[in-house]
Amino acid sequence: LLERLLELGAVVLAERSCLQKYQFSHGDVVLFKCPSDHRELFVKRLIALPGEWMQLPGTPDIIKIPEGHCWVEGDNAACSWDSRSFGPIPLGLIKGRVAHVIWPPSKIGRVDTKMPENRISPL
Amino acid sequence: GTLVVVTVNDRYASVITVRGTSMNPTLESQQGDRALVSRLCLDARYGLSRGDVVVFRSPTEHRSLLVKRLIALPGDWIQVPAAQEIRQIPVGHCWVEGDNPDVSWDSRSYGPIPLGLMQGRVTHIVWPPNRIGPVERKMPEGRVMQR
Repeated sequence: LLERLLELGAVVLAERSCLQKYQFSHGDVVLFKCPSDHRELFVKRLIALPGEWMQLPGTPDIIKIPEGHCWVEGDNAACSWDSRSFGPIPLGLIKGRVAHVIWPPSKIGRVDTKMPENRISPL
Repeated sequence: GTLVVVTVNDRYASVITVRGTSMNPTLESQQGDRALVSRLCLDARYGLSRGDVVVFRSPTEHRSLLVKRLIALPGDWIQVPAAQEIRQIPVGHCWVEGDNPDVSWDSRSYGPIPLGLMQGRVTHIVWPPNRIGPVERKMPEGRVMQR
């Protein structure tokens, strides 16, 4: 599946096997339908999974992620519209995991799983 | 809720087997109803309408598909049954309910759901023979004020 994504300004390879096996991991970069506009696709990093407690960035608050939902954030926090604005999203909105950037040449490579530190506490 | 099992899958249509009773009498699992699901409604040109029977990913269990009736669209005001409450459906969301409300777990419990969870519209019952026919669009009266 090839998707041209303005968010990354690059062509990425998105794998869908994570949907088949229904396995998501912290730090995955995921492709999902925008919760307020189902015709739009977003790319964000998966931060927290159902049942987990996490600290909201920039506040002392912690919240619990509801069943069937997850928390997504953009890596460029200053200009990203993500779960910090619209809250947890249903996992059912996820369309795939971004595995590689394949264009432009300067950006070719695997998209790594990466987690911000100290923000999640599992059940 | 009413779960569905996808038995034949194609880009534009699927056949599903219905389990559960929340959509009785429209869809009856006891009779082994199989239904045709059209995905054309997911394209912008067509779109979903109030009263459609829809298949969507469960908001609380992403591995499950559910089938309910679509009651209200973004911007509509809906009267929530047994709650003496009127709510406006947020942008990008919709309200779904089962036809058999006593056993249906739906938007009355989990609230509006994103339209992005929609997987298709149920158009016909295709099995068993005595049940073959179209699935009609139907709206509960007087509960939705359209935007």
